[in-house]
Amino acid sequence: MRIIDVLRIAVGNLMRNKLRTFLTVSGVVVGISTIVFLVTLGFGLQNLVIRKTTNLEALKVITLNSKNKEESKNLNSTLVQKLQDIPNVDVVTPSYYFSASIDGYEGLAPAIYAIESGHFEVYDLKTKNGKQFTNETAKEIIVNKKLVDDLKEDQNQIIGKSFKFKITGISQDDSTKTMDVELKVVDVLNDESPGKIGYSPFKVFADTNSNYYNIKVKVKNQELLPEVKKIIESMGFSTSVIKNQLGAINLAFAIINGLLGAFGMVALFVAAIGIFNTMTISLLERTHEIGIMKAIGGRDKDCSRIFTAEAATIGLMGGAFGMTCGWGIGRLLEVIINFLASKAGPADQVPGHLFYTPPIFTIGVVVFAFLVSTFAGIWPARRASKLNPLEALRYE
Amino acid sequence: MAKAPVIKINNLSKKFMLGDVEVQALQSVSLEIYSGEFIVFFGVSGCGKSTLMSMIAGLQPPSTGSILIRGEDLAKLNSNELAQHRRTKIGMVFQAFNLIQTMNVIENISLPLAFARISKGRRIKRAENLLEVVGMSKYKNRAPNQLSGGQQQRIAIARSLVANPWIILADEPTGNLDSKSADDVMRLLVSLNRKSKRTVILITHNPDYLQFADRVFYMQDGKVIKVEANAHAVTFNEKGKSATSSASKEDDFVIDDDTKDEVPDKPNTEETKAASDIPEENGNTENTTGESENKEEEVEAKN
Repeated sequence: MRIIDVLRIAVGNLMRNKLRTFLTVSGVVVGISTIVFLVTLGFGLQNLVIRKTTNLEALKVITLNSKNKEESKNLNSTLVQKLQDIPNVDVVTPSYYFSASIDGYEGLAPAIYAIESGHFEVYDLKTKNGKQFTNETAKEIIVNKKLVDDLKEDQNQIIGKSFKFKITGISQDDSTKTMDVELKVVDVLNDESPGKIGYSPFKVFADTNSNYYNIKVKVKNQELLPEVKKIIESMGFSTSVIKNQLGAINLAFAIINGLLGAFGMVALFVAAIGIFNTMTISLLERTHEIGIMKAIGGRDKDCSRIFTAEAATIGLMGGAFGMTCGWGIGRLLEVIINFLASKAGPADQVPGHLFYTPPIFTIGVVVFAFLVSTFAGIWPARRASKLNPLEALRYE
Repeated sequence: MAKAPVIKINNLSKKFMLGDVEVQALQSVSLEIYSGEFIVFFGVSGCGKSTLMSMIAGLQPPSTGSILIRGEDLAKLNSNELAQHRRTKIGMVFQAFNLIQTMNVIENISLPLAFARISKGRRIKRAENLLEVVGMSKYKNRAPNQLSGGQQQRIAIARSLVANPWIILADEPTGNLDSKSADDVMRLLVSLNRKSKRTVILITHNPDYLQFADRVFYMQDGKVIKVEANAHAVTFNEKGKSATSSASKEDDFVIDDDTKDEVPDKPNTEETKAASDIPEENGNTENTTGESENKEEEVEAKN
């Protein structure tokens, strides 16, 4: 018998018992959609955690710190030049650190970092409106949320306003020396830092006789970091890097996804029993029919193939619908959660994508449903093929 | 005329257990059936005639003895070959019709061809031709349970013919039918034998049907007790019974591809091609049909 005819008969039989087929397929749909829902949630959370906790750019950065005054003297423009010459170094950027006070705000002492414009990613800085400094010497400042609050300002209203800062600690020799500068707020940082912080262009403070606070070295890619770090340390500087926790996060989620998948497997196992049950009952109902088929020239193989095809069709339908359902429920939940989060809190608290469905997983799940169902149909199909045609003909 | 028998049964016995009791269904049956014969196995129920039929169909193996279909021993065939035997050489008609209730008329008729891997288009065409032959064309999309018993049996006969078999085995085909439907079915079977020279084996306990037979095997207690040759087997309308309706019908009764066992002519027509496709699966081309005779019949029908 041709495969197309086996399928015709199998689908015909399934269509004739619509309710039973619907219920059996529903079992598979529940099993598969549970797996899909749970596992794509796992994948989604994994991505979310990585996205929210780890700046992949930050993993390429080595920071040269000054432990004491002696060491800090060595952090200078000559060193910057030297670091630049190390192979595989992408960016070298120094920064100043000052404390300051603000005219009209008694007791408010924000920390001011002077950094080079264009290298915000090295500092893992994200501004609300995506602004940077107008140019390297612009008298501008980007303030963090805490500082905005302490200035009794609104995060949107503050932009464009100028404040008079008195900068202290601008000379390595004279700690009393100060500098007065009026800085215009260009943007607000997206951060959760409890400290009052402002960032200004590096060159605004180029005239000060201050040491660098630190130098950040960004390497061309993450794998090259240990190598470059070793070279810098061999030059006698202490360095620090963000610990790469990606491996640990991925491992943790692999375990979580495995567990979630296992829960879904329980549901699919129940569905497989459902298929087995349906096929067995169908076998009993159709014993006479099988007898007829054999009497008019159907081979044992033809009979078993019809049953296998029915089970496989149930699996394929269940897999496809289950995939769609699981994905749909995930999407729906995602939309609801994001909507509620956007109503309840600030925009950066909205989690974004909670579910992630890798394409290979989509195909894998449907194939898996197909295989499980086919397997559940093997025994009834074998029995159909082994039926004695004469007894089957007498069976009513 | 020294013809090779189409069916040769040697010393055939069949025992089976009914609970703890051993039943001897057939005892040392030996017989030969020739191509084109109309054979009746006659006897009361339980005499073993149905057992004999199912063994000829290869549905159960003999306990001892052998069944040779055109010299081929059924005991030597595996289950696939037995399926092919039933598909290509035997057409079965049952008392209980045994149509598949979940399939419509045309699907039922064409099912044996589906097992033979013949494409849907050709199956349907062939089934439609046979539907016309049995006068059921307008019912082709009906479910079997929407038809009367007589109509169902005619569908079953069409199904038994679809793969163009050598032998039609009919086990009490009129047992469940009223007399009018029984007449229709018998008329079909008789003309099948007379017109297209198919070997028909009828199993019955109705003595009315003995007159159609070329030979009658009388059976009792698992044995053939008497063989009676009938030199003047009647065709249906000679009987006079329901002659009015039968005359035209019989003339229409043209099996588009005749089963001529002895001379496998080259099949030319579309229909004979379809028929010769049937054993394709196993490369068996024995079952080809005689086109010349086919044409003759068509001429006959037109006149």
